[in-house]
Amino acid sequence: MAGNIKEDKKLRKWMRLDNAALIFPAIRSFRWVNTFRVSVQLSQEIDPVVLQKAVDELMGRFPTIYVRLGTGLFWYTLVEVKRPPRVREDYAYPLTHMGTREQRTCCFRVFYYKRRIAAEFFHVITDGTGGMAFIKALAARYLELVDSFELASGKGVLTVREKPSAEETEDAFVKCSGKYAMPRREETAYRLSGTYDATGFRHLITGILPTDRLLQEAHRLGTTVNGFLCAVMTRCIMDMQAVRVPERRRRPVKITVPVNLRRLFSVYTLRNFALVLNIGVDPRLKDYTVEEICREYDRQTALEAVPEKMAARIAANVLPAKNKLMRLAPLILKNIVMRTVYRNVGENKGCINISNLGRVDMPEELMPFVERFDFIIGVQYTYPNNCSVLSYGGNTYINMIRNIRETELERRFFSMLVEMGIPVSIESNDTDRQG
Amino acid sequence: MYCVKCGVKLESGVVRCPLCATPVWNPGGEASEGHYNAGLYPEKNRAARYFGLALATALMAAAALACLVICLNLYERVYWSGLAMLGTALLYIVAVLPFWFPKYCLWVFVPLDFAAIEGFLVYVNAYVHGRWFLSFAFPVTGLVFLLTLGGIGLVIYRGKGRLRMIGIYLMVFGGFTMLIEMFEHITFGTPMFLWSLYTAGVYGLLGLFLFVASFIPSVHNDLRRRFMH
Repeated sequence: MAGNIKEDKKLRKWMRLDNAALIFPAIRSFRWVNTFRVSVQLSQEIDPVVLQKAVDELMGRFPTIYVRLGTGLFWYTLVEVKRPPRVREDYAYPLTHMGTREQRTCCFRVFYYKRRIAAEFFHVITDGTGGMAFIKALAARYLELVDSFELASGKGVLTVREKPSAEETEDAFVKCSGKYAMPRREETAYRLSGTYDATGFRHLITGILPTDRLLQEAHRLGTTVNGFLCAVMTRCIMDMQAVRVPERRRRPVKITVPVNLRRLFSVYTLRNFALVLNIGVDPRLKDYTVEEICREYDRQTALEAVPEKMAARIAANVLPAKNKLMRLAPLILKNIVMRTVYRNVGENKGCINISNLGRVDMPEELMPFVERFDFIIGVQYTYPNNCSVLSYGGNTYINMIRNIRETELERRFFSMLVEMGIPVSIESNDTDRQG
Repeated sequence: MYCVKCGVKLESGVVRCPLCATPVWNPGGEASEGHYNAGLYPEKNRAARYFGLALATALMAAAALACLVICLNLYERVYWSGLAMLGTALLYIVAVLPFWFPKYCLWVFVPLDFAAIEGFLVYVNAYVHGRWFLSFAFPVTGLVFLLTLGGIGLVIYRGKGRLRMIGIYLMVFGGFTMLIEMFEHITFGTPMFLWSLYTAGVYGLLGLFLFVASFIPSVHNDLRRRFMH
């Protein structure tokens, strides 16, 4: 068994939270918790009995995911669950609230609906990359059980026949932390707002775009797909701010972009290993065009998303956690400190997240059975909107979730893409249908 | 099928565009299946909530009962425990009772709260052998109740002329402070216009400013953007 997982007197396996996860239990509330969803749509209707079997079998393969949140006097821990979660039929909207009781039972859940399998994770256990690795393994195992074949290992999908490696279970933040901590000071960004939906319903609008057209447009502007989408989103938020806020009270428009640190540091952990950058422009300086924002995005990313600077950013999170006084403080005090820090230097530095998992691949023998993937991040503590992206099978799926009634941002964003000549198909979970 | 306003492609069978709510003309189109389980919502965990409420009820009842027992033991009559029990009942009606119901209905619970406050004041008045209930406490509480209802209505109302209504409300509030001082003067014999002129002046001017501003589009729009968005 991997060395990062310890055993207590009752022989329960447990581990400490990774450095990025420390914040998530501290900032959760009765109504909000940081969760995300990855889902896969197959070509056939899901059999819940087989799906449950697949979920059960993967338990040994993903020891860092089949865990529950334990609360101690000084810290939170992740303790292995006694039994895997029961698969459930999906609800009317994604990312329903995961309450404290559920977090103490299991930090992830599995849903099925028609041809879709979905897994929702409390961010404390893993990030989007880890979640995607899990859903791919789950889909592969499900298909193996349904169609009675065995997928060869080493095709980018983790199988039940392999053992988890030490690298998969390690807290890579500690390993990759620099010695110098970069200051967190940043200017507060413009805040999106709207009429809060008190029912707790999460409205989801999915835009489906042909990846080649998106790439073509991004390359025409000399940037990446992520850069292009961030630029369009920035432009839309700038337009919204121009309508809503008088000129002298305007603020920078910044997009919070998670950076997958695995590529930068050549690490392959299944736990959290991403840091966010707030990238954007200040509309008080000039009225930036999409082309100019693309250039600005590339410039800022090239400057910030380098191992040295990322190591310094990691250090800013890791070094306070190593502080003896902080370690000796009771959990309740730590939570107050972390919540205060998060409110002041956390979310308010960006307007919206754009989390891009990039291109998702499946082994060739599974491709005919897998129609699409989706990635949905929940709304943040104070952001009303969020956006997540991935590409699969020639299409890019942009999921925009919100907890407000207004669709202004989504309308502006997708309309601008259409105006640029990119065809967009729209799906929504608002049930405004015939019959 | 495309939205004529946004230009995005829509699923067949949708009644309106999810982005701009433009109605979609969909002649004989077959409705596509929904992507989510439209009828299924997560069950709310009511057990913990009801346990907490039952605990609060039991604790408050025990506290009120303890006061009564102590009082009867010491004085062989109700004495101050009446105040303690009615105070606890008032606290219960205001802070605990609404949570037994799935939805907080303003138009039921706010009048109930004020009725409970009035009842408590009647008892206090009788307890201290006072003569201030009818001439002071009752009209003041009644006016506060009406103002509260008006305030709630203003918070809920999102239609046209809201700024004008807020202006009128503030002016009425200023006038109300003068009424309080008048009731105080009638009941307790304090001098009139000692402080209420200032509050009435401040609220009246602020209300008048908003009232006038609501007729000037540029000022109205600027105020709306700043404070009402």
